[in-house]
Amino acid sequence: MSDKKHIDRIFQEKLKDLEATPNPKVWENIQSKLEQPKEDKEKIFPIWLRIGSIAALLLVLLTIGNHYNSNRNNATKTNVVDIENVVNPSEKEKNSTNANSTNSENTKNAIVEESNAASKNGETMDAIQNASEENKNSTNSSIASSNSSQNTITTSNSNTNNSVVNNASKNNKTYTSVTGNKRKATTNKQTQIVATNTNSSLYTNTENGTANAAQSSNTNKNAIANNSRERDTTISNTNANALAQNSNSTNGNVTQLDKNKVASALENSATNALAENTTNTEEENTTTDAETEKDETSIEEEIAKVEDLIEKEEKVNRWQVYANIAPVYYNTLGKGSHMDDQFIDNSKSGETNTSYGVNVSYAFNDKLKLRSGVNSLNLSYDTDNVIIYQNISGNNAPALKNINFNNDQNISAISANNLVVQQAVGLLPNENAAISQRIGYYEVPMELEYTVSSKKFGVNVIAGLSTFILNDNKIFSEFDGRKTEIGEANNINDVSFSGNLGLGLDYKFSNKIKFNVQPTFKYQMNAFENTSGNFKPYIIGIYTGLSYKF
Amino acid sequence: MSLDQLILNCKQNDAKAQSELYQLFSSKLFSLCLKYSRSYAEAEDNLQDAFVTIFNKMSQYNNKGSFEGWLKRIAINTALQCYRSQGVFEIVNEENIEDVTLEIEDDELSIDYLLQIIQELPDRYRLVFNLYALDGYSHKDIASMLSITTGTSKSNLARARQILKDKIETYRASLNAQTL
Repeated sequence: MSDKKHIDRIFQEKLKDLEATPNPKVWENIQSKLEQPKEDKEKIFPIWLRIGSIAALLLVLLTIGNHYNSNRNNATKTNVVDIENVVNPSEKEKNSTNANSTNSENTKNAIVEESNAASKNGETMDAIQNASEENKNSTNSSIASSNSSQNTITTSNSNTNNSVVNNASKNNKTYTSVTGNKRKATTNKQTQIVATNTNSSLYTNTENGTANAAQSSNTNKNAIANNSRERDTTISNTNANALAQNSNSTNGNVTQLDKNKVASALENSATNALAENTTNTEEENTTTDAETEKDETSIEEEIAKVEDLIEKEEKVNRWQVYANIAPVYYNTLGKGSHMDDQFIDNSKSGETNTSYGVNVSYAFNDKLKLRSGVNSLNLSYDTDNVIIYQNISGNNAPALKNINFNNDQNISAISANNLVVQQAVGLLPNENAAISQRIGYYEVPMELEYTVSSKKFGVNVIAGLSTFILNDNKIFSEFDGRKTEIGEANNINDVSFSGNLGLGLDYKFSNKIKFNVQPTFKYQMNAFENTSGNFKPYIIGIYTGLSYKF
Repeated sequence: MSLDQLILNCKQNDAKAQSELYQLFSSKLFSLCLKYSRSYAEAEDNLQDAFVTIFNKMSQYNNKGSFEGWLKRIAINTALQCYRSQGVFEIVNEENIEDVTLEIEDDELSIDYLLQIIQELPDRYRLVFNLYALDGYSHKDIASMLSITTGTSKSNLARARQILKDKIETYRASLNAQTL
């Protein structure tokens, strides 16, 4: 007898009866594993260690940034502070309010506030509270929200995003049901797992809390800062940001702790990026809602998954290395000279030089990367129509304001524009010399890269700043194609900064390897002291290279 | 002792209750592990890990939904865990998606043989086939569990069915050849 059956049915019916007794050794192994509850604690320790070391690193960076900053005395001060401190919104507020003088104190204050906030939060997760203690001086304002404040803040958010409110209220429901479990959880690790539980709303809840906490602290400080518009955008960004992470976490992409930390911190500088994130978030949230409802019945399931997710997440590699070389064009926006007043009207030309280096980038999520690295940059800038002459008589050579000539030659320079008469008379040759300035920098960029499109051809927007460390400074006279070194400029700052804006285009050869072209505009902020006229140097580079993702 | 009482005692890490619970569910979960694993040994490892997770997380079971279902989900997740790290599931040509049917005669195929050919399936096909055909997960669930798309899940399922069908047919042909 035979009849046609779907293959699935065959297996279902047959394997329904499958009963197999495992080897008794399995139970012995299980018992031996259960008798070592310490194991979990040991596993946790490295996690705290890691978090602690990240926090310490950030603190060091902040301190260096602030210290450096307080030593500077020009207008770029505020810019620098902002960018260095982008890591922590609340600290950023602090710094800009208090004008840099007692930065370390401020940091301390911020820490105290955060830890207070965290300790108020008796009902929230132990593990996260611990995390906050570890992290308090780093980026995290995350954990600081009691349920009540969360709710009120959520309502005040409603103008930005209605679905957020829905989300939050739904999450609150689930939250309570999970709390019991969580408290009973035997080890910190497990608690954390509950918190990380990505599909379950508890996590979402925390994230909202983060955003809200950040918001409340921001608004308070706004009053002091008198800066409300800018800050408001920051706030909504932070918020949107946290929500964007919500959605990501639904996909199980990111480790919670890293994310919390980094997220509230760095992302709000990329305003454009986040505006787009918000729209994504709205879509994502609706789905999250649906899932949340569904998941209310199966929280245990989620809990079971969480450990898996965490392990998986840890294996996702977010690091990427990018080697690049770029033709670099250097010029000035305004009319001016960095060498001497008399050269303001001389024609000048930037030359095309090269920059090369290696960058490393870290992806917070699918969209946003932070990258840094080292580039070697050579710039060259010609001031034309200059007469260089050797002063035979000796001492009375008129010096140029910003150039130290080599001692052994009595050289001086004068703008031919000022010598019309003599030129006409024929005292001088027709061809005038040029002064060519060579500047070499080591450039350390710190940039955020936001992915607009990540198909085969990708499009990114890049914004950030670079620190330039001077390593070469020479002045040449250029005459008839011959170059002679005549001295060095004395007004180039050893360390200077630039604001960067770029567009990145890439082509993916494979999942790992990409070809990148990134035209980038860099506006130098304090490259020179005592410039004459309106000298505003900028750099345009077409950074081209290959990147490799681990 | 009722199951509820047993669960309660397990939550208090009562060793006797744990042993009893193991006796009660080990063979059921082991057969599940067998289907999801490449081999008997691997299934034993999975079973062991699953039970360690179960006892450690006992406190998180709050009597919502069936206890056995909870255990099974943990076992399945444990089984999936070791494959997750192996990266992107291959995308199969989706043209081939069609229902595979085949004739069967009663008791012609032993459980052992069916289990064997399931275990012989490539990992991704085995997981999808198990989840969909044997444990009733939807393609959407599978997609999120394995971090693949529903399309990939569907095509993996189709490939799995095709492979199983081919194997059964070859097997039957060889049986017939022997009897002739």
